[in-house]
Amino acid sequence: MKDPSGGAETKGRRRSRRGVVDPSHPSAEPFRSLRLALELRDGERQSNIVVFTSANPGEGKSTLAANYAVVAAINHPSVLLIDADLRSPSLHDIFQAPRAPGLVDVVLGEAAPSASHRASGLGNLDVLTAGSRVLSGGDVMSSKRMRDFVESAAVNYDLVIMDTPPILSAADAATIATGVHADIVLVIDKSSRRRAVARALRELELVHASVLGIAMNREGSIARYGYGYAYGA
Amino acid sequence: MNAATPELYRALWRHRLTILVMTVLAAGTAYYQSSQSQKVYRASTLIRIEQPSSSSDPQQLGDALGVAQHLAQTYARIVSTEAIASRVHASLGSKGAHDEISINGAPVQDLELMYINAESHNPSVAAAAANATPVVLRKFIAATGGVRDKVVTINPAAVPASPVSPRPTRTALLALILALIVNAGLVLLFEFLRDRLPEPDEIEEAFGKPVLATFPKLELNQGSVRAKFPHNVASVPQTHSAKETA
Repeated sequence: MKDPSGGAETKGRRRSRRGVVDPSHPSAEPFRSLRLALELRDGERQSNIVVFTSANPGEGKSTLAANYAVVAAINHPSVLLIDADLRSPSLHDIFQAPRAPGLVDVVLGEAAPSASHRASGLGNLDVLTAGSRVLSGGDVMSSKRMRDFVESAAVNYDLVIMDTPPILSAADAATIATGVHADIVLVIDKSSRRRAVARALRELELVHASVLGIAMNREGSIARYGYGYAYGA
Repeated sequence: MNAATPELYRALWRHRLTILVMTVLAAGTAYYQSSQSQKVYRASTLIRIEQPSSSSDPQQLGDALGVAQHLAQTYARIVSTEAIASRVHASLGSKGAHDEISINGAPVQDLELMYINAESHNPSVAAAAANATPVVLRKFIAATGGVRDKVVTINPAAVPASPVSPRPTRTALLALILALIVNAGLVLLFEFLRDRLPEPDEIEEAFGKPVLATFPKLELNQGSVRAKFPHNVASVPQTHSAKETA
């Protein structure tokens, strides 16, 4: 059910300071490392749907998902980034795009995909924002229509990347990942609690979700990726 | 070996500086406090308790020796009493306050010998008290009817050159060891309560999942690289929902 109180942008949301990396900057290198790690994963189980999630909010999953999509779109023929964090969407902020129409509207049949999928102009990346507010995001995420939509997107796109709610806040990531046999990347950062991460992994294990591995946010120094960049400056 | 053991070592290594500083601080404080406390000197007199025996029978001589050993233990107890301490103090006259002298007897095992130890903040008073005690003891024995027992001074007490306490170095060493153990325990407790993530190279071992990539603080572009919204894609996947809508 849609939220009767709101349309696409009802709240005076603080302007996001987030953005995307410049692919020619050393900041893009870790995403290339992630791309390589995902491309080299076990071929038999390989899915072209990658779900980004975290144990708790604020660990950087949306930022990493968005930037990974930007870097992946450089050499993938077609990449679709979906904002499936219906409770606290942020990709429209990052890409400075309208929130609606988006995923909710397409899944509920209230908008045509042609009106919702937006070419970002960044490589081959299309972005599907969260769409209109709904009261029951969990029901939308666990619906058959959602599974069908994501599966068909996986057929039409070379790579589908989904930003989903944190595991310990909602079951959406586990639901969608198991429903469409997606691979999960769990994002953690220095503020993450050890027991929370372990609990999140246990929950994913319980539903037999395919967790590819962990992406560590805010760790290390960008200087190690700086090799060679000065020459092009 | 327990799997958590290397992690404990790493936690200790991470906080090594804190542990080191806290431990040195504790040892330094203990040394300072100990060196500031009043010095105590100990003087010892060695005496022998004799049981006179006129017999040359070895068995009787052996019995006399056994009795003397028991007497040494008895007199050691007597020497440690307040009654003897008062008399020793009285015999010293004005040399040292009563509460500044502490006297005790320590029998030498299996021998009819006994040490009389006297402690005082003044080394001369300690020596004087240790040497006065055998005299007081003899008078006490005579007054209580043990006329046959003889107390012979073997080695009179000399004025001690160094105090028996405080011993700042020993105290500091003990504080160092104790503080090291306590600080290490506190660090481990802190780590447990903090519930922090393991180090990046320990993540895989801790969670059983590989680290695919690490992301330093990113320089996110706010200007030159920006998505060119809004414009929709020319053609989109025909999803089920789209078909249903159509």
